[in-house]
Amino acid sequence: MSSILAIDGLSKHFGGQPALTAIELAVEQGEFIALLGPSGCGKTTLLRCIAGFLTPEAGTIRLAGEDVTRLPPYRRPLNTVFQNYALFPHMSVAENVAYGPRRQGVAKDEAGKRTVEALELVGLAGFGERLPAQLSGGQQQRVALARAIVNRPQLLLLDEPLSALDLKLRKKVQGELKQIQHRLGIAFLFVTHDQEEALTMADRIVLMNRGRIEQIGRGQDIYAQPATRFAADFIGDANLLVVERRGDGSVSLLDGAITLPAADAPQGELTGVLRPEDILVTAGPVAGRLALPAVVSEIVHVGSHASVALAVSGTMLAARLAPSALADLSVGQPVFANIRLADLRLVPGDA
Amino acid sequence: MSRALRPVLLLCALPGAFFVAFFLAPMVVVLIASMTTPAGQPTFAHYVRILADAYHWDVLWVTFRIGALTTLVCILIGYPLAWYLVRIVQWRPWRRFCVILLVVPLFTSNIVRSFGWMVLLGRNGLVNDGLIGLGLIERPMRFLGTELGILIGLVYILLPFIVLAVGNALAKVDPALEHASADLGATPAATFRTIIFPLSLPGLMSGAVMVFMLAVSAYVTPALLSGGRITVFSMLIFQQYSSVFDFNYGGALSITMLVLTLALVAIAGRLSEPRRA
Repeated sequence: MSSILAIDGLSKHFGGQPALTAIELAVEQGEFIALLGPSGCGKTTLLRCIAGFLTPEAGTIRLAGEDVTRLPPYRRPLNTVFQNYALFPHMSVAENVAYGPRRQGVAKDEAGKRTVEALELVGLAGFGERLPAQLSGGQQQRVALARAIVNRPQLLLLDEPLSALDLKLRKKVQGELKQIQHRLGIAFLFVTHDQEEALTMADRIVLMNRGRIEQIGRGQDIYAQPATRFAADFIGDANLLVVERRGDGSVSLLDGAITLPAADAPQGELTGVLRPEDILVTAGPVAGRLALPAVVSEIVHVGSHASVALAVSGTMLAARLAPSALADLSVGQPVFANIRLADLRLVPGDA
Repeated sequence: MSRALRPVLLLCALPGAFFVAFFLAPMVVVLIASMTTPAGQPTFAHYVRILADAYHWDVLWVTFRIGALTTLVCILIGYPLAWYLVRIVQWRPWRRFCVILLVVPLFTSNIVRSFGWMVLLGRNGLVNDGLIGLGLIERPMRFLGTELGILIGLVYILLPFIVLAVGNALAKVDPALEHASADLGATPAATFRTIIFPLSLPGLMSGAVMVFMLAVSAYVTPALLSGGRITVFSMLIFQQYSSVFDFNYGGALSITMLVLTLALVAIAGRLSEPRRA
């Protein structure tokens, strides 16, 4: 079975500035993919290339095996939920939803039936006669979703569809969206700059930076095994440590407090990645770990856990502790930061 | 009266007084004059005289026909022109230049511009010379003293109103709506028909109403370009006020014209209204 979406060597420039460089991506049927990255990373540009609003300079885009790179948007078998919904203000909710089937030449009765089904699916049965302006932001978002899925596309593009909703509503809609996606079996390609949103919703995350894909993988895999410094920094919290290469092929971190053999490490600049929860803070050294002498310089309580800043060999390290482990900890106290060398990853990229 | 309300009322008083002095009062004076005899007795005789006379109906028919044709031609030229300025021109200085070109004639006197058209449209004017030079006609066409001449003059003067109103409406249509429409499978033509045109309709209507009102009430342009051969209603009104000095009858003519124009505009507005209010 071929991929629903297959992108090969895609590049796009804006006035000489590269916006996308050599993008390779395959999306399988029914997958939920998050395109994640900071603003300006090219994720929206990529979405627009797939939808057909931008034409790439190089590369191909295939939908269900068919090359659509040069097809106009209205000939592509996919639909989009737009960032600000883009509902037609002069049409009722039902007319908005029926717009797709009607343009595809579906008869009025049949289009009406599908509209009712789509509105029921998003929980807006009975709202058909209203105008978009008479709905709340959350309801408008559902109409936009109903309008985009009524044609039963094999691929749905979502351009930061939840960014206009407040936090509480966003959490609720995230769950609903996931359910609807599961029920329809449509592949979702979801653009977001919110790593938490990507981690909660997506089967796989496509992490983008400066027009390139940094890493593709399940959220927990990217977290556990970041491929680059950017990936380590963007997904979750990380201590990024300066790595110095030494003449004998090994590397040293934290001013020589840690030395590692680096025979199988990547070429070029390296960064050491250490997750805050992998640091064990104790009064004395712990057996089986590398115990680094440290001084507590700050303690911040964040409810479920506490973030502790430790000064280790002149570098600040963040550690994450359970509240119960804090009882005998105070600022200025000398402690030990116990780490496992297996938890320390060397990734390409300058710290 | 509450204390908070007083400054508000004071602020409203000035524009209110201006409106009464310059719009309401003259209107009331004309309306009263139209319903009284020169001696001041109330009468409807003027209106009876107007409505019973077939000549007035003929002039009204010519006036509204020219007004409607002017509006139609202005829409047919103005909509594409507005589209060009808003949608096609990408280079801002050129767009600005075009808009200035469009608006500058509004700063010149109507009389000067109409005289200009008299020169251009004359027997040996540039238009006839051009048409003959191109081999489109053999002998000079008569423009002056025809409805076509008046139409050309009015369209030229009133075109900017449509272009500005439509251009404004088109510029307000969110490009995301076009993307959404294309995304849902609509060809560019279908997108125009179902999304862009309906959304620009209020602008088009307000521009068309303005053009129609100005065209039917125009005096200078028809007077100069008619060559005395065609009479429009505003000329009848002008005659009564300036030559006959019958302010009562002139007033009745003015009110008749105003009521009929407003009625036509109201009907047009009702017809073009979307299904929902």
